[in-house]
Amino acid sequence: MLMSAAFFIVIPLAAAAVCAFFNKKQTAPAVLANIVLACGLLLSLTTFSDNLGQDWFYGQAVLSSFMTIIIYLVSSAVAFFAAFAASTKRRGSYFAMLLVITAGMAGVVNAADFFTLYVYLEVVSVCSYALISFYNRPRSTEGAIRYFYLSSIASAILLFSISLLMVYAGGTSYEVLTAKILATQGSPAPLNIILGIMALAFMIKAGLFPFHSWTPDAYESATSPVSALLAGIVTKVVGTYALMVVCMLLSIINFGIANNPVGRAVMWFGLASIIFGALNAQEQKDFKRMLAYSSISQMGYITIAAALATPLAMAGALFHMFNHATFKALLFFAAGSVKRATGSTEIDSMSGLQAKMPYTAGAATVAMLSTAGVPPFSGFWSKLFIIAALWQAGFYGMAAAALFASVLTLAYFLKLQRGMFFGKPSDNIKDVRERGAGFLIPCFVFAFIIIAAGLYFPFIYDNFLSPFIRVLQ
Amino acid sequence: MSLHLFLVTGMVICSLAAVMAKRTIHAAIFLALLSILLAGVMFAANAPWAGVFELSVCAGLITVLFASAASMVGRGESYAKREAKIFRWLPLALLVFGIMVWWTAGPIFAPLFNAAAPNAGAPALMSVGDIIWKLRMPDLLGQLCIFVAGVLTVRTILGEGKDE
Repeated sequence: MLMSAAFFIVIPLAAAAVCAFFNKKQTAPAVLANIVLACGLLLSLTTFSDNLGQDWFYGQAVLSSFMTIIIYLVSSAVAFFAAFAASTKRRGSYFAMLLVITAGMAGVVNAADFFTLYVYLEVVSVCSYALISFYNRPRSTEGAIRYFYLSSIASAILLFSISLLMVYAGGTSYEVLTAKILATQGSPAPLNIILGIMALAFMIKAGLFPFHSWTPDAYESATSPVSALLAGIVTKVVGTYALMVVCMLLSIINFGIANNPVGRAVMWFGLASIIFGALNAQEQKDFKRMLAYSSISQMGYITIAAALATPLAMAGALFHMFNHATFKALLFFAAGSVKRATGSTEIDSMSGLQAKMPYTAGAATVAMLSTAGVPPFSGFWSKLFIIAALWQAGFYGMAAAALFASVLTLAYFLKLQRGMFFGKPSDNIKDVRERGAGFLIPCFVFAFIIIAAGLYFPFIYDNFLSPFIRVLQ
Repeated sequence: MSLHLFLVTGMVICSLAAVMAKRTIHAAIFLALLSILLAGVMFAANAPWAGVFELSVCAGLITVLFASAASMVGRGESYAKREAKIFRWLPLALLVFGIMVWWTAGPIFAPLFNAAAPNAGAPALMSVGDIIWKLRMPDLLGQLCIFVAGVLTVRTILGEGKDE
């Protein structure tokens, strides 16, 4: 673990301990959490270039540094939104949890060892159960319990695979594993089995189809800042980031996807998630539930690209993780604003919200178009990378299916727009208005990032993706 | 081998009993027993330091925390009784799973154990202090994070009880 990485863990942890003492205060915990997370974001941006040369294995340092930026970006926005949107009860514990989960996620992406990764995964899981069920609503508690059961099974499988790794390789660090892989290029079967078991654990943690049953309940019933955090970054860190690490190792073992049965199986899981998520999102009548199914579909894109593991696919997966973090967090913020303003997120229970909440509707439209991969928004580029990588590797059917699912994404979001935001304002929203700057600023910031990352994609490519592609090549 | 089998069987029984217990305090006691048996496994596997940690922290400290939390959160009792009903088929499911694993896992994992690293599991030539402070420092920090997260989670549950 890099020295700077320790700061990303220790400082939020210390701040969480302080926050917990101010449980009855309204402002102090929110201010402290926001300052710490904003400083963490600045630190992650400034240390990105310093970390590039310090690889444990191919490209992992670039991946870690980029993920740290995404974690702190989303956590900062969530803490800012929560400062205005969270309930007035037990705010100290709430913000302390946000800080500890951020520390846990930073630990996961900066780990150089599978056992360390497991320890921090558990930190994130414990905080997730508590945050989902924080206000003890029946639906949220049910979602938390489902997540607990599935996550516990995933943790047991992961621990089992780590113990097998210890038996086979004599260690669990990425460095030891890389050395073992290079020494046993002729017989990859045992490592394929172990990494296959590990990939299964991470797919469960990511909430991919068919392990998705907890996500709709948890996202719908948790508070909007928590939903934004879970969909925006938590499932990516505990699921797809870890899956990317495994897929990178699998790719090294098998010299690419051609001889890689585990990688191919993971690709099929990814494709099934893309299609299942997109089809189920069409049927939903609740804004947040639709976003939950949309998340399953988008996680599928990241998974399919991670499993393909060519440099182009990996860059696409990494950029789509960033894009999904920004547009999905924005959409959950918009859902939170709508819920606070109208008391509901039922799509058919209102119409014409655009007239009453024009800024929220505008920002949400940007995020929806980006999710669907419409140019020139950032989502277009990452989906283009993923589909081009699939096509280049000869997976024409999968590329076509991914493209088709993108059209489905546009369809369900247009349905949402037409039902909720467009048209003549319904009578039940005549007194509705925007909820103030605290709710709008995070939406505007993310909308700006989505537009800027799309329009100035060459800058993103040169500074963030190109170093990653260079190392992988 | 027979000692290991006895200890591991005892662990499976204790974990089942912990999940199926009708009172949360009983679940905490079975978890403590599980930790004691696990410590036995660690001693038998020539890892006395890990055994001592398991005994003192998991069987000792954590059990005290669980027991005090269980006595404070009285409303958890009805939930535990409901859960116990849900889990009544768990022993049978576990038995079927165990038999399936017994018959199928051998051929799958045989190549793995045949190719095991020669030094895997051998005691390292380092002191416990060096291992903890030099090699496993990030894990130690992670344990601290889990501890803070656990305390906050318990506090959240108890806090909600007060709200109600």
